[in-house]
Order: sequence, then C-alpha cells, then structure tokens
Amino acid sequence: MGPAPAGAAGELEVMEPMLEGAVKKKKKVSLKRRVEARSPAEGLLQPVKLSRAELYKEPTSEELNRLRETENLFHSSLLRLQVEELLKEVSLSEKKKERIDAFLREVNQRILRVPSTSETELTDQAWLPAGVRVPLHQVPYTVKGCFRFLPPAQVTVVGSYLLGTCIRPDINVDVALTMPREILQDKDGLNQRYFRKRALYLAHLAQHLAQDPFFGSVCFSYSNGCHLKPLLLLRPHGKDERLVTVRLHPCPPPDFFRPCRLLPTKNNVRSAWYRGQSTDGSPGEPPTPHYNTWVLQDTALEAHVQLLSTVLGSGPGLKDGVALLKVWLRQRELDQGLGGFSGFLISMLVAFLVSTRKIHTTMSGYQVLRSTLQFLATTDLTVNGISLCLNSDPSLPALADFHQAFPVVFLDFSGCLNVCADVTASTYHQVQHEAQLSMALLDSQAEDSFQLLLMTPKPMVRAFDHILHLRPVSRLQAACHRLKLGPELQDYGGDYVSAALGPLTTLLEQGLGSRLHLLAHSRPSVPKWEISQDPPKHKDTGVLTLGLLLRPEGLASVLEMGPEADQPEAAAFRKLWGPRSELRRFQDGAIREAVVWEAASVAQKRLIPRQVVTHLLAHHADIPETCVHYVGGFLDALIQGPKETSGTGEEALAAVVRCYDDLSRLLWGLEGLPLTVSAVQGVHPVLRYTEVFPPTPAWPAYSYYERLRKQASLVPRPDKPCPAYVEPMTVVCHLEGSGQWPQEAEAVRRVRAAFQLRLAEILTQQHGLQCRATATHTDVLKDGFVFRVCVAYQREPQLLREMRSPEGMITLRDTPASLRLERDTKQLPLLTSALHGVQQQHPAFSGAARLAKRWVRAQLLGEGFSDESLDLVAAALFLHPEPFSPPSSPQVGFLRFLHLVSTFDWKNSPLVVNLNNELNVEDQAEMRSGFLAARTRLPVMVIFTPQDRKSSMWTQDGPSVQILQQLVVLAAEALPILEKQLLDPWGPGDIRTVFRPPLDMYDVLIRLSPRHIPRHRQAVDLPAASFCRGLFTEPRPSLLMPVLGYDPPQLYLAQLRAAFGDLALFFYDQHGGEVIGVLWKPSSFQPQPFKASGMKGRMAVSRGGELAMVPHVEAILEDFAVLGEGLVQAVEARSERWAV
Amino acid sequence: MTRTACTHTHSTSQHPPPPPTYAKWKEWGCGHRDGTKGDIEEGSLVAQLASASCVWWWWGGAWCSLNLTHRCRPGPTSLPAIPVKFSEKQQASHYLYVREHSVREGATSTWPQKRTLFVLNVPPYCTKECLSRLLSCCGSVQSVELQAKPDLAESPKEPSSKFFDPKPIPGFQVAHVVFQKPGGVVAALALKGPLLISTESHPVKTGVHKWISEYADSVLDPEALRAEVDTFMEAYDQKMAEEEAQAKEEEGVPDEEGWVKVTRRGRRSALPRTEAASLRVLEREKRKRARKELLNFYAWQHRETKMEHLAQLRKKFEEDKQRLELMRAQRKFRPY
Repeated sequence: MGPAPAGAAGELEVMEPMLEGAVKKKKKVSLKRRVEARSPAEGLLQPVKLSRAELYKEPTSEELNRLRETENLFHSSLLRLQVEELLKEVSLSEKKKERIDAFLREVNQRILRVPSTSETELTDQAWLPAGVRVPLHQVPYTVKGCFRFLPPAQVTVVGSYLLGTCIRPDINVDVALTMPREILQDKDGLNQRYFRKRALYLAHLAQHLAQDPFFGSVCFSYSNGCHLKPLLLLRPHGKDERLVTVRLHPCPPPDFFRPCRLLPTKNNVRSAWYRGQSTDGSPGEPPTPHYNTWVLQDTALEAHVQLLSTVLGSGPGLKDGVALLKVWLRQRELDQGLGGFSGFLISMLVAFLVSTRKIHTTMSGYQVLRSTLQFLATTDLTVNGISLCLNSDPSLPALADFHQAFPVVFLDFSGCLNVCADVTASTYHQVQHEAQLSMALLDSQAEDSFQLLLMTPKPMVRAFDHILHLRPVSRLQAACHRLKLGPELQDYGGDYVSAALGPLTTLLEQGLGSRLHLLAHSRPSVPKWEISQDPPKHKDTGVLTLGLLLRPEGLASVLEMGPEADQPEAAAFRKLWGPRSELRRFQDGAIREAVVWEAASVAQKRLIPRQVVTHLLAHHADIPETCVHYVGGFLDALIQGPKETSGTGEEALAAVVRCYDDLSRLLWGLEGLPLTVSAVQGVHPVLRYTEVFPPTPAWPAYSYYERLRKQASLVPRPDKPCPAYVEPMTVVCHLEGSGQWPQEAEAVRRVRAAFQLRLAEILTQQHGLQCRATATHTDVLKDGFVFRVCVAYQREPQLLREMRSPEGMITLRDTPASLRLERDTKQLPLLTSALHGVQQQHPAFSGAARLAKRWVRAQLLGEGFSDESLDLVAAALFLHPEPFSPPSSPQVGFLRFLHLVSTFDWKNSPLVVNLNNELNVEDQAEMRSGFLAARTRLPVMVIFTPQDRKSSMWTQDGPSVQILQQLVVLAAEALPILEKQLLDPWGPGDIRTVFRPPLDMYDVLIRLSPRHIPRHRQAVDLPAASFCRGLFTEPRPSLLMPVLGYDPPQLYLAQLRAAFGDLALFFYDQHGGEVIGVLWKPSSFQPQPFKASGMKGRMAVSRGGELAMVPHVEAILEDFAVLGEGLVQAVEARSERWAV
Repeated sequence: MTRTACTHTHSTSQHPPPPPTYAKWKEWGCGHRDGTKGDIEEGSLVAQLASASCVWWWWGGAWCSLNLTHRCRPGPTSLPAIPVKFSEKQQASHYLYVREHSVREGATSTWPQKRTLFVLNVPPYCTKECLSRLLSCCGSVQSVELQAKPDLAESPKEPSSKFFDPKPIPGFQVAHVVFQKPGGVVAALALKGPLLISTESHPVKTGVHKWISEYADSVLDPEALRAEVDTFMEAYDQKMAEEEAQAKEEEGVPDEEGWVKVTRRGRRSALPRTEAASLRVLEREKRKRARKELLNFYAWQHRETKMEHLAQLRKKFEEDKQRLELMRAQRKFRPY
C-alpha cells in the first residue's frame, strides 16, 4: 500500500467498504465528519514556505512586542496560541452574558415578589403545599423554633460569574439570598435549626417559582454536595434552557452568627438532641468542626467574592490562570462533589499566592497556572496549613487547632473558616500528585504538553492501576458503628459515607504500605431532584470507588514484615492485621510479627492488594468480601496460556530467558570454531517478554510422527491432528572480527553456511544438544525449547550496499537486501535489549504489551502490524506516560493503549519512543521537523526510536492506511465498552466482548477445521473440543528434532496471499482463530484493460465492445477450498459486492 | 456473471497497419519506440489508431497487432482460452490463455520460435509436470518453464541452489511450453478442454498433504549442503587466485601510453576510493574554513544574525499557526 496519505487518494477507495462495515451503526453525522477529515489536502501538515521578502522584512514594533511577550510570558509561541484558543473556547461570549444578565434581573424581581407567610412552629410543616417536599433529611425531626417566610433582604450575585472566571459548558450563576433578620432567632446555629429554616425557606420559594412559566425547570440540589445545605436550581424557559443555571443560596444576614461560637473546637450539635438521650456518661460534647464550617461558609459568601474580585481584577492574567486551572481540575475529575477541589478553592489559592507575592499581577495565564501547580506540588497542606488572615489577633485559634479538626487546612482572611474543610487528605494528595506530574511534564518541554496537560481527560479507570468498588454503600453505616464513629456522624449530620471515608482510607493506606503510591476515592456526584420529591438518601449515592496507584517495587514481596515481638509497636501491628499476623522467625534470627500472603506468580502478587483490602475491610469495618468488587485482574485470563492455572506467563517467559542465557554461555565457551563467538543477542519477542503466549517445553511423543532418520527429525503425519506448534526462537550470534572473510556477498553466504554447519557439529559433540543446520541458521534443541541461532557477519550489510561506479569509485547505496539484513542482525537485537530493559524497569510492561498484541490480533489485524511496532507502542505507554504515571498493571496499560491508538494523530506526528532516554529535547524537535518534511515518503504509521530517527523501519511493511484506520475505529469503540464493564461490574456483557472481532464486514468467511489449527486452545473463548497434539507433559530425553514452525493456517494464508493478494485482503487471528475473513479490493474489481502481467485469476469478457478483465469469482472461491484441502471446512460468500 | 470469452482476432495473416512510426510513438507520449524493458510493460496496450481498427501492443517481447474489427467467439484465430479445473468436483473453471510465442524480428529468445506456446493464467496448484502432462495430448512436450510474470530478459536461469534460494510460493503464473514439433503449438491453440489438473491416476497434492510433504522437503541434508558450499568456495578461491595472479602480472608493465600502475598490496590501501572517504575529506576542508571565519565581528554580521533570528521566529510562528488551524479543525480545543 502506498505509504503517503496525500498520494493515496486512489487507495482510499478500498477503505470504503471496511469503514461501512465498521461504522454502519454510527450516526450519519460522524461518518460525514470522518469523510471530511480524510480528504487528503486538509488535515495534513505541510512544511511552511515563506518567501524571502516575508521572512526578512523590517519588523513592526507591535510584532516585536508580541514576540518578546511570547518569549517572556509563555513557553513557546505554539503554547501561547493554544492557551488563547482554549480560553476562547471556554469563556463566555458577551452576547450570552447579556442574555444571562437579563435573566438574572427577571429572577431578582420574581424572588422579591414571593409572598410572605405567617409564623409557625418549625415542626409544623402543614402550611407547605402538597407539590413541594422539604429538601432536607430532618433527622431527628423535633426542633424548637419558629419559621415564617419573608422575601429576602438582599439578592446578590456571587461566585465565578461575577468574577468572570466561569467556564463553559455548564454555566452556573450563584445568587446569595440574604434571609431577613426576622426569620432567625437566637441560637439558630444550634442543632441544625439554621439549616432547617434554610431548607423551609427554599421549599417555599421553590413552590412559588415553579408555578411561574418563566422558568423551564426548578429543582433542588446540594451546595458543594453538602447534604445539610440544599439549594435551588433555576433554568430559563424555552430555547435558553441550556444557557444557564441559576443557583439560589439562602444565607444569614451579616454578623448574625458570632464566629467565636463556630470555631472548630466548639460543639453546636448537642448529643442529647441528636441521639435523643441524655449525655450523663459522656465526658463532654464532641466538637463539630464540619457543621460549624458549613454555617460559617454561608456567612462569608459575599466577603469572599469581594476579596476575589479585588485580587483577580488586578490583572487579566489571573483570571485566565484561574480558568486554566479550572479546566485542569475538571479533566482530572477533582472538582466535583463533596470535598472536591472546586473552582472556588483554586481561586482562593491564587488569591493567597498573590498575597504572598508568589504570583504577580502582570503574569500571564500560563504563568499563573505554572506557579500554582508548582505551589501545590511542593506544599503539603495536610501538614503545613496556610492562611490568608493577616491580623495576628491572639483570640483567633492557631493553625494547629485546625489541623486537629481537619485533614487539610487553608484559612480565609477571617482566620476562622477553613475553606478546605471538606477536602479529604486523599483528595489533597491526589491534587498534589497531579500537580507534581504536571510540573514534570511542563519542565520536560515536550511539544504536546498543552494537549496532555489540559486537553486529556483522566478518568479514574484509566488513571489508577487497580480500582475497587464498595457496593452497596449502606454497608458503610455498619462500618461507622464498627469503627466507633458516633461523634463524626453527629458532626456530619448523619452522612455516614463522608464520615467513614477518612478513617477507611487511612486504614487502607496503612495496610497497603509500601505497595501503594496513592489512594484516591471517588466523590459521590451531587444529586439533583424534583421539588416534589424527597431528597435522595445517602445510600442512593451509588458506588464508592477507590483507585489504587501501585508501587511496582513493593509488589514483588509476599511478606509484610512487622516489628520484633517484644517491641511495643507489635501490639499495634497485631491490632491492624488481626488473625493474619503471626510470629515468624527469620534467617537473621529475629522473631518478628509478620503477615504472609499467598501468591505463587507475578500475576497473583500483583493482586495482593486485593487480599489486603478485603481482609482489612472485613476485619475492621465489617464489610464482607461480597461487597468489595476489586477490578484489577479481569483481563489476566486473556494472556493466560492454555495450560497455565495461576500465572499470566511471566514465569514461563522467565524460564525461556533462563534457558537462553544458558545457551548463550555455551556459545561463548565453544571451542573449535574458527572464530570465537563475540556476542549472542536474542531477537525473538519471547526474549523481550512480549510474546503473547510464551512457548512451553516440547517433549514430542515419537509415535505420533513420521521420522526422518537421516536428519534426526520428526515430520507431521497427515492422518493425525496437526502436531503442537513449536516456534524456534531466533538468536543472533556475532563472531569476532577477521580479515579472512571473502569480500563478495555470495561467498559470504556460503561461508556463513559453513559456520552454521560447524556450529551444529560442535554443539552436538561438546554439549550433546540436538541440532539441525541449514544455510541460514542452526536450530538447537535445549530443555525442550528450540533456538534458531543465526551467525551474522558485521560487514555483510556493508558488502550488499557497495556499488562500483564507472569511474571505479565505491559508493554505498541502501538496497532492500542490505536494509533487511541490517534490520535483522543489528537493529532488532538493539531493540530487543532496549525493550528487555523496559521490562526490568516496569514489571507491568510484559502484561500490557501482550494484552495489546493479543487484542490487535484478536481483531484479525495482527498481520498488518509487525511485532516490533506494537511492542514499541506499548513501550511508549511506559516511557511517555504523561499525563499519567507509568502503568503498574496490565489492565490500565491496555486501556491506555486503546486510548493512545484511537486518539493519536498518526497523520501529522511521529510516535517518538525514547528508549534508554537517549534523545534530548533538541533531538526530538529535529525528528519532528524532519518528519514534516518527509511525510509523504514515510509510512502511514511512523514510530521513531533513538536508533531509527528517520525511516521508521518497523512500520515500513504495514499497516496500510485502511488497516490503521480500522484499528483506530475499533479501538475507539472498544475503549468505552471496556471501561464501562470495568466501572459497572454488575452490568451486562463480559470482559471478552471487546476481544471478539466483528465478522459482518467481510465478504467471504473461510471456516477452518480446529483439527489442523495447532494453537486452537489459545482462542479468546476457550473451545470445547481439544485434540491430542503429540506432546508429553513430562520431560523426556530429546533425540529427535520436533516439528518446527508448522502452522497450517499460516501456510494456507501465505498461499492465498501469493495467489490472490491483489484481489483481496485476508484477515486471521493467529491465536486459535477458526475463521479467515476475506475482503475483496474494490479497485481490482474494476474491469481492467487486457494485460499479460495482470491476468492472475481473472477472465476476459467483452464489455460494451471493449476487451476487459474481471476477477473470476466462482473459480476463485473454489480455489480457496482447493488450496486449503483438509484445513478448510467451508467457504461462505456473504456479499454480492463482487458481482460486477 | 455472464461468461463471455475473449473476442480478439489476432491478425497475423491479414494486412495490419504497420507498427507505429517513431513520430507517431512520440505523439502518443510513450517514450522511445524500441521499447526495451522498463519502458513498456508487458502486454500493455500502447496505442490505438484513430480508426480503432487495430491495436498495437507489446507482448511476449514483440510488437503484435490485434485487429479489432472481427470480434467472434473463441476460435482458432482468436486468443484461445482453454478452461482448466482442479478436478471433476469443481463447478467453475479458470481459463488458460494461450498463444504462440513470438518475438520481434532481431530480438533473440531462449525459447525456440514456432515450437513454443505462451500460456497465461496458470493456477497456483498447477505444476510444471502437471502442465506438461495436460498438454502432452497435443504433441510431446520438450520443456515447461513457469514464471511469476512475463519476463523479457529471458536470460537462462542460473542453476539456483535449493539451500540458498528457496522457491517462492507460487501464485498465478505464466508458462512457456516448448513442444518438440511445431504441430504441438497448433494443436494446443485448438484445444477445447476442460483440462483437469488432478485426476485419479495423477493426483496433485494440495492443502494439508502438500504442506506436510513440503515440510519434509524443507528438512535438508546437511551433508549435501556441506558439499555444495565446498564446491562453491573452491571455485571462488580459484577465481580470486586467478585475479590476483593477473593483477600481479600486470604490475610494473607500462600500458600503451607508458604509464605504470602501482598498487599497494595489503589489507589497507592508502586511501580507499569510496564515497564515504571523499565526503570525509570535503567535510574536513569545510570545517577548516569555518574555523577561520569570524562571527559577529562586523556590524553587518551582527545585524544579519539578528535578522536571521527574527526570521526563524517568524517561520516558527507560521508553522505554529498552521498547526493550530489544524487542531481547530479537529476540534481539539473542546476540553470535554
């Protein structure tokens, strides 16, 4: 296929049917868009050509200023343009602002017109009409006090809309309604009385506004997810319905509450009232810091807005910066729900940084973003709280008091209100972790840092290695009792999810210890409900999801070593682990408390966190294993070999590599070769841990085979099922340098053959290994594995390149043969060792790369992609994980593979895989510009490595445009399905769905007989039938060479491609596929003029007086069966598309 | 699909218009006329006269003309098509297209004139032996040569080694069948068919049986390999020795102008005559010159450096703008 997308207009036609098949169900719109994107002229970057006059004209002062500004304030001009573009996208247009303002004026008037009511007891709610329910759980119900409705004393717009930092979509305008003083009484701060009045106030308001046809929808929600503080959502009627949501927050009149009563050490919810019992026995009332904060927040709404508007108004860059930070938070799902790091918090943080002069008002938005991230990355607010309060009044509480009550401390200017009160320590650590990653990304000066930082969503399932769901959350109520969280429940007003979250995460963090890098929890989404309904219960918040970011080095151990038995810490250790803790004596003589987990294989060791979590939750919080759904190893089954029971192949791969190491030692020590062996390098995927199914040792049962006595080899028998597939593993063997080699390519090949023969002889003589030599390689049987040793001569590619010009000058020109040889003997060993290195660094690499390869092959697209290219894409996930951290589990690696494949702009950018970190920023920039200049000559998919900076050698032979496009489409469809299955384990479908290929797009299906598919048992869905493959399970002495590389489906495919390669494409899954998909090429079905070289399977017909050639489909379909006699079960022609 | 056989009359006996003249040839824009290999693809229809009564084409290494005025069913004078099937069981059949092998006057061919049949569209399961058996009914066959595509060079194949040049997997092929007598060709052109490739008496292996026998064949005898390598290397050593002897002989002998060639023998010649070496020398010269040059010394140099920097920035800016335009088109600025 043509390598250049620009020149491939003709070939794109081939793609049409494939696309049609794949996206048949999609809406027309998306198809149209794809068609647009595919037109070759647009959507492809061209090298810029500027005339000399344009380049060297005198600069204007304006231009100079802009250039200077870019240099000073932004990282590069591209970044500046991108930031400007993004701000344009998220900011609100003036036109819309006007419409919103008009709406707000109307809202104001209508609110003021709501009639008052007469005074009633708080518990007497009969005056409320039937159509509205109080948006609050009134537990306990009895509260003293009276309520009456009066129109608000003041209606003010607060929040981001006023500051100009609100971002699209979902524009919210916060409006504060100051309740008149007459409604409130003394001591309203006590026992939720203020909140009850607030709720009733909203209920009455809602009931009246809902009758007004001016509003499209009126419903309740919670302010920041806090269930004591409902708010009213108003939306305009008609076409503006999606334009804006106005949120009404009732708040007390200024100075109504005395801040000193609401300090974190004070109690405002009496136990006697809350628990309905006397508190004689208890030593005193527990403080209610969260309750106090929620009251305080309402009093400070306006003051905060004033502060923010003065600070943010002082420089345009600050507002931009806040908008960027909001986008940043939102992409990381950090800003939603109770305890989220909301836009308000980040604005306050910017204000704090301005006040401490870390941010200057002249800074650009990008610099504000950078400084804030820098601050977040380096400051731990859980230890060192910060305060905006400038006055040093001794009556104010100290920061330490706040640290006692809250995990994260950030005080506002009053010194009494902790704006981060609801933020949990885990959330803050997650923010900090994200900031650190982002800073590293910004510092690396990567070209696409903007895209990765602000444009890439980081959903939990793709960001964390393992995920666990707790369901139903009502179990947490029992957990609260078990954990003795009575006072916390009182503080949280009965919200057991929030009350239990902190202690649970601390517990798990403690238990996971060195295995854990970061633990994050989902924040329940803020509910929204109709005014005629009761507010949703806590148990309706759905699933509590925890994300674990694992530390690969901690996963290797099965032992949790505790303190020595006589140490005082031992008791705490025993308390943590309960019955799992046992005394053990270690090799150094110490007797220690220890916990040992059962895990035999790497895959099971990766899942130790699961054992830890379920044990701790059951032991401490009474949450049974059935309520914990741990998502970590669901995909492991897909890379588990047919005979493996526990592991996912890592052990088998390691066994092969050990055997290979032994062999290479033997080769180094060989005596009697004319030249000694200087290097032995593996090139087979097994030797870089990326073979999907590692080979198992083969001990053939001789009776199952024919024997060739002379060559000591076995040959399959036609009357038996196909024997087991034994793939020889290629190893390149370099010899020491010598001047004795002939200087002619043909002669070199003969000498190499002589070396192969000699090698076989010596290995048999000196080490008793069974060997078989051919002209190009020697197969060596060792411990049941077969290695294919290829002797290489370093100068041979050079010899193949040499050409003598007529003047006798020797020039070097690349030829296909020299390139191939160089690739196989030079580049491939380098790549293999580099990827081997990646595996040593990141233990999850093997699993992720194999899952990725497995998936591509399961989609029948495996032959389009070389092994190496897929391995490199997988390596890119580990070497360039931005904006994530490197995956520590195959599952998340695979998800990111799908994401990378489906979103990467293969047309306009090369995938640079910086193996061994050999490339610096300049190198990469050079490679990118070289790529642009040479785009049309490069293959469709371009992967550059430090060893291969220009040619992308591993993708030279494919994929074609169509195959790559198909992969992109499939990946984009598979990703959401798989993520949904992982996030909602109770939903329909199973995890293998995305591994089953769509077959309805193929024109012909060739069904194969499993009897002659040697790798039949590797299929995605384990087949029912199994055949004897002529192997023993126990080691036997091996005297005869097993059948090597005999795979009938592959041989069949090779024949099909040779015969019909220009009429059709053939698709097959080498891992146990039972079907070959055939797709006719529409271009070759066009009648063609008579041509001797283009006859292949066609016949001549007369067409409108012209002689034309068309494929002879009936005969070809019969040929499919003839060529694959014995293997082919049926040939199904499924479409009539070929009927020309 | 309707099956209509080829309908061209191959006019050799009648009077075709003369082959295109050079001027005509240029007019059609087809390069030079005595199209050697590489200029004209085999079998391509190169020119159609205005009257559309005759087509000239390059086929089988010769100019042929096709008369388009007579279209008829397959017959003795048209491009004959012989149906061929794998066995009785198959319903549809492929067609072998055959004609007498002929070359342009003056061109040489390894295959004898008159006695050679040129066959197109030979199915992949049809072997040499098979083709020879199928056509032996027309006369005794001397040899059969199968090729992946019509090759003009017609050079006698070097004896290829089964160890070093493994045979490629066959697709559809073309064949040159040499009969012992010219009558065979005539008989073959009139053959009706359908021919059966695999019969009871001569079964042809396909599928699993074929792969197993191929696997058995691929397990080679190392001794035979050793013997072949030894023979080759002996010949090679002898050739090298002869060359050296000749070079030695020429050494010190002045040529007709009186020049004496002096060569340094040994592993390293003084300066290898390679492109890389000459490039290295050039590079060294360039560096030497660059060292002598002064940078930012004169005021104009300074000015130019600044301007150059500005131009670089401008170029980068343009590039960035283009990139941004593309991103905008791809809707890359919708954050969520």
